[in-house]
Amino acid sequence: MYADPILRLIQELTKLPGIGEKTAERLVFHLLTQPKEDGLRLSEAIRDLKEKVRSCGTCYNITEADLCEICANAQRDHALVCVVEQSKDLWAIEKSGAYRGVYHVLHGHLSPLDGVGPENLTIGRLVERIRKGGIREVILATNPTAEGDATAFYLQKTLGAVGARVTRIARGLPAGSSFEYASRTIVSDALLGRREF
Amino acid sequence: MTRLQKTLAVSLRKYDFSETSQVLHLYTRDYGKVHCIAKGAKRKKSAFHGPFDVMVLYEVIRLEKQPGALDLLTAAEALRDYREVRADFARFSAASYACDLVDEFTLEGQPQPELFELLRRMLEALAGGSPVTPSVFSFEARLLRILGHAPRIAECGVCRRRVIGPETYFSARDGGAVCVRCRPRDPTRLLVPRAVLDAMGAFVEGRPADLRALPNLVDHLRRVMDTYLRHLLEREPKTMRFMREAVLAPRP
Repeated sequence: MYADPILRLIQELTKLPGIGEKTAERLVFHLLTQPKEDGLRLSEAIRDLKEKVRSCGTCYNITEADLCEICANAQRDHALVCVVEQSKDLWAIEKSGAYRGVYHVLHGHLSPLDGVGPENLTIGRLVERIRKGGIREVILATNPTAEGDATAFYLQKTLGAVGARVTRIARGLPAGSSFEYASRTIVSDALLGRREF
Repeated sequence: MTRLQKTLAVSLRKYDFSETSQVLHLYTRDYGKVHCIAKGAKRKKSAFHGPFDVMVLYEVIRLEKQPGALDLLTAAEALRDYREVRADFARFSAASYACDLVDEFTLEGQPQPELFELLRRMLEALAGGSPVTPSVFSFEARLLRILGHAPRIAECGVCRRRVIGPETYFSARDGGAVCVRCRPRDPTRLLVPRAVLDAMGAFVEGRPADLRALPNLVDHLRRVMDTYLRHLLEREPKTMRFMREAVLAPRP
């Protein structure tokens, strides 16, 4: 039987996604062979993550300060708000370099199957943000899934009622793909979303 | 022994298994509920033409594995995504509830083609604009009948005599109606107007029910159905509160 500190760490590691008991054991024994400073640096990094990282007071992106670097940037277009499900979606859009507005992170999507309703997301704060004024357009960039679509339609109705101009990102065939391998849904989306060329 | 099976299926739930693979709960026409893994479904160049979604009708080919192991999906084509239900949160909640009930009430590998057709018709009805409230009651009642849980409506569950009078008890523990004289001991019993159980009986038999026969008939019927389903499942399904809001909300 392992010593208590080893067992505790194995139990904690197995709570992480994709890590089973065997992998956790392997990681723990690897840590045992490492210098003490390395292990302490890891524990300090986890402590900092949990103590210092929080949600931006405006857009709910993850940040260390009261405002995230995007909301604090005066060069960004603060009248253009892109709504995403998660911070990782925000970073995917940022990597494209094609967007200079600001964001609103919902922290999930509407999913009755998972017990998630509008009150579990940051929709109320988005409505408040729009009511305060100064927002020209809200771009809905939820994922093209059943839950993402349902969230987008819900937002369209809710935000439309407070007078916001609401648009949605395009959907259809991704660049580099071909009709031959596309599903009916993708082809139908691409045809419905066609525009002047 | 493993074998390839081609069938129609409605996706009830999806879980991320890894960066690129998904685990799915499918309700199939020919094999009942199956749990499958779709390896590489989220890869850019996947054989499945993209990730799987919930509440979608697929034609799938799966490799049946040993009991206890996940079946392997080898091909799939989305035939109908019922996307119209996504445009209205009440419809989306009702469709989610239908999938949830099928998932909660069924075990793997017990084919019920009638239940598959019921779910498919429910999704089609919601997508086609059928009113949410009667659609949900009808779905619940017919699901109960198919699964052998249809409540007793005409006879008292205790004395077995025909239930008469303007009011009657509904006792989930006694399997349905209990007459006022036999007052059930079930702590979850409900005393409701007779018209409520008449409406429930009509839905069970697949007949149209007049939900405006009483001013608060829908509320009563909702309480009866919720109590009965919670009793059968021994808990409340996650989607029930969303469905309740959808059914009870005043609609134009």
